[in-house]
Amino acid sequence: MRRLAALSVSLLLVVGAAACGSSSGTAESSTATTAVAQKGYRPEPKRKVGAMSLPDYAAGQQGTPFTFKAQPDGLLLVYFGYLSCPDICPLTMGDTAAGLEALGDEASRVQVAFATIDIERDQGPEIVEYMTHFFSPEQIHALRAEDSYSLNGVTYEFGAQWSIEPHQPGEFYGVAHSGTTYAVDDKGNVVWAWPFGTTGDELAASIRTLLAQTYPTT
Amino acid sequence: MTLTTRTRTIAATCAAVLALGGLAACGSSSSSSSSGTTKPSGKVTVTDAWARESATATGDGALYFTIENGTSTDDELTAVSVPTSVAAEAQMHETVSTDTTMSGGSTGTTAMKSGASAGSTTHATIGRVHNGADDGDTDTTMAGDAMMSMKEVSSVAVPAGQTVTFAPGGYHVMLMGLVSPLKTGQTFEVTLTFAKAGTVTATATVRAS
Ligand SMILES: [Cu+2]
Repeated sequence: MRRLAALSVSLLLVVGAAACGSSSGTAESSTATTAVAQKGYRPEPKRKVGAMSLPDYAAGQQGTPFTFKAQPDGLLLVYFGYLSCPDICPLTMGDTAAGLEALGDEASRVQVAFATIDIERDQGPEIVEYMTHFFSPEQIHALRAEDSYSLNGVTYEFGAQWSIEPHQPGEFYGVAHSGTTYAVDDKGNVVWAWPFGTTGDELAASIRTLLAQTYPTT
Repeated sequence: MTLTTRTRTIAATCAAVLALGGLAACGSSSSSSSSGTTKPSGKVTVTDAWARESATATGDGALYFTIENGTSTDDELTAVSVPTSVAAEAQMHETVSTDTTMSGGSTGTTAMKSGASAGSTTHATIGRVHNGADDGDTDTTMAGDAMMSMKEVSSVAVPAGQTVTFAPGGYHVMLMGLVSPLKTGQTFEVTLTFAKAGTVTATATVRAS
């Protein structure tokens, strides 16, 4: 555990190396080494997001402000995406759902928030519908900012980027966004960021490590 | 199959990261590697066509498949179509990482900030703009996480003897204007048009992943 923590501090280069190592793709190659660096990185300097909130539409809410903090002793996974994203968003949500499944009982300590970065097209209830396709209703938060200004304030603090292609009203437009999934602790600190392409098993292993590191006494 | 494209994406990210670190490239990034040992079929074949089950009642879909060029001639996939009873339009797309801001203060970040502060008369909105709560210094020291987007491609090369995989995170066929949400188990016909081999059809099955 301690060794993993130390490794994780050495940030992106380790991530790069780990990604390379696993690109041969087999389980054998990763078990060959004893300490496998978690995929992703711990943001430094610390990103604090617990003072911010976005309107939540999960569980029948009509935009109740949801503050970016996990439940006590838990982790909140946050993803900034958009609903008409056909490839990477559903892939990431599917992998995340698989990760929670692989976690077993510990999954009850984890919730997943999807915040749309396409507030022009995506409405709150649709985000709920989308998320319940992948997760059970009590696991989710379906977030939609009132305006791009408040959204910017949130994504900035997370370190997420997004961009909407210039367009006329009603015209089709492209969207770019960070494919990162963030883990937030119960104090509102971003404790981990997983890159796009993290598998369910990698996520589950990483969440176990993070839970143990973040809440050593539980 | 999924692994193939993921591997490629990861390898690409990896190369970018390592390039920043001034190190050499990492391993083989073999995007869509050939199966040099299998006997050439003499044909271009399309297998494992599938589309992802729709998560919502509306929206676009994504279609994937594996193309094997069993001929000794380089070919090119130039179009993919599905029945209009499935979707209004099918486009070939590639998911790409558009990000250049792996470290703070890069041109990407600057461009974004200026782009956003320009206020733009269009509906352009750019993230990573601070709401002014604290000083601007952090703006240039904080790195943003890689952005992904997709771009339409007009053709995809399918070299002689090679296998090209359309898989999540790499190439996909975007099904725009789905007539009805795609349901697991549903099947539909897909027609691929190649520059040399002509049209090849396959049956796509809808599944969760
Ligand atoms: Cu697409």
